[in-house]
Amino acid sequence: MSEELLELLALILLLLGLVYIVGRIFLVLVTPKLSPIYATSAPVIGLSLLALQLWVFGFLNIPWNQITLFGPWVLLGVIKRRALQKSLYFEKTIFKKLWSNLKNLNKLSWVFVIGGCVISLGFLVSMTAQPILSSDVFGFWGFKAKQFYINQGVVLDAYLEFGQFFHVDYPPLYPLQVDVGYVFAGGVKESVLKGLNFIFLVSGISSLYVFLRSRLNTKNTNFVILPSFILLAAPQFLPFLFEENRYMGYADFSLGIIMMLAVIFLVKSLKTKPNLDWVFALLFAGLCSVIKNEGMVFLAIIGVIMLIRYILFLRNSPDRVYSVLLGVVFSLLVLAPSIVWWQHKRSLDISVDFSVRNLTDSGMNPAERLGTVLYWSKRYVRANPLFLWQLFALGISLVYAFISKNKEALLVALVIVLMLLSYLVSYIFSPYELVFHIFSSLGRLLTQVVPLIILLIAICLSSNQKLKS
Amino acid sequence: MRKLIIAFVVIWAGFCLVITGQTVFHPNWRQLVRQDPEILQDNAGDIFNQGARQLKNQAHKLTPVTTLVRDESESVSALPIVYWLYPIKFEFVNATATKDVFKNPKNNSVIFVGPKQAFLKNEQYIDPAYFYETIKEAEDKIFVVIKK
Repeated sequence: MSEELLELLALILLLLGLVYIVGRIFLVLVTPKLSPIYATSAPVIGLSLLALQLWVFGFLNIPWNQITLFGPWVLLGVIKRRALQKSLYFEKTIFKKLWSNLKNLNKLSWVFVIGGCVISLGFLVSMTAQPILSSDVFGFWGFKAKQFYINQGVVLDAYLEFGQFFHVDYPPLYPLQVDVGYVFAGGVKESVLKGLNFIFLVSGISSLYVFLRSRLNTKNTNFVILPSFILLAAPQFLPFLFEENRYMGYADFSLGIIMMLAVIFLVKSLKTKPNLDWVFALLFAGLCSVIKNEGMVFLAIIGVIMLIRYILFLRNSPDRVYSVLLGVVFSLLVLAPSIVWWQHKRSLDISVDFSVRNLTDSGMNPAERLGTVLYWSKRYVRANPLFLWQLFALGISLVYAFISKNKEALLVALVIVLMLLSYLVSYIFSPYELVFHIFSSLGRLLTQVVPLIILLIAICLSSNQKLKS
Repeated sequence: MRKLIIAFVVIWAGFCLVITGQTVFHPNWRQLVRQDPEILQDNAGDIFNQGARQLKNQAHKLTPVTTLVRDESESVSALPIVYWLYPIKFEFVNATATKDVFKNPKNNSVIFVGPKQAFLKNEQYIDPAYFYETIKEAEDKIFVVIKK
């Protein structure tokens, strides 16, 4: 293995460790509670917080460097060192439990565990070493990250000169997350850009694992391994993790993982009064809204669900005024990044391409347009049979959810169906030629919901087991 | 129903193991592991990508605002150049306006990107004789990344 590659792999792994520690420091600041799901989602929390920090630094003209970015966290870590030590010790016990759980696995599950480890290693090496080639990375993800890093802020002026074609309107969080890696590496290193999704991969799979683990008794570890493995190795992700087809929809992968984290906390929150699970469900949904435009729809869906539940809670709450105020303040905090981004776009006169006018300009009525979208979507899925797996998984999970009237499964199914419907509606109002638009984007939209569908079928599987056990 | 879900999940996982395992460890994986990632990047992609990486090494010769001449149909091909050379700023010029670019070539760097015929197609875009003459006059100011 070349020395250069080893250095880059070490860089990605160190970055993973660093964002995990930052996420952990944040968690000990907000709660004394220790939970495996907090530990596994810490890397995504840490990476996102650092990215938001860079965004704020840009407004305040604070230079982006290792001292300004990580210094405050080191300080906080020192202040909260005892709580941090306690949480790290707790994580150590999780690993011990994980190891003892593995003893209950059957041979088939061992095949998936070993296969999963080998594939993870393959992912890490391939993501880091493979050259960047795709127009998406040159055109916006990589370009925005480089531009933000060099200008030390979310600056789009030079980008606008190049033209509107390259998704100027996409939110800035993903490039800022890449910039966290650049600040850590001390310069623009494309390997960070390519390897960043390994952090989402590790956090997503481990979160799904511990979530399912918490729902099942230790004898059923086999049922935890299978969905976790599918999340790791679903072939739909391959074009996202590699340069195949000269396409790198990197933010789609991270969006899918963060949507899954939001829904995991949403499901967890079903059993509780408003607590941190509620907060994290909204927090992750808020992060989605500044990763891609589709994330705004996701935030709206999760926001409405949470709002309805919060209103129901308020009806029985003894201290309504305080609860309402708390809800409003927290909602504003979650919405703040999206509001700032929308204002920024308005100031630069960047408009959203999707509108009712596109529908009228197409000369079709909504029903005709819908028919066309469905026809070409069907053609697309036929041409790309990989997506049939997830559609079948969604189908049987929906049937199960309705038969069993399982609240958790029904809720996750509702979120997925609403997301798919929103994609459908966006095509109806698309400014682009429909066949081109569907064939160039449906794959990534369907892939965004793969983690949610795996979560749904896993909930169905684990609910069955729960009844059984 | 439970058995159906379990069977489906097992088959799905098996399918993922085979397909993804094959793709991750593709025939070029050895090269991927042994080769320096920088060298891999230099040799990767089409003429535009490789040309862009070469230009990156000559970035010191470029003026702060460089003219990028591209064929209208090849706008995407200019992306690697814009990416690798950023923060150098570009004035974008379509191939049809090539003649104007040569009015004062010594004051500005010029990068051509696009299919050869877009620039050398008789007099439609530029007189080939004039093109070569200008290159001779301002060799270090003109860079060509064109499709072979």
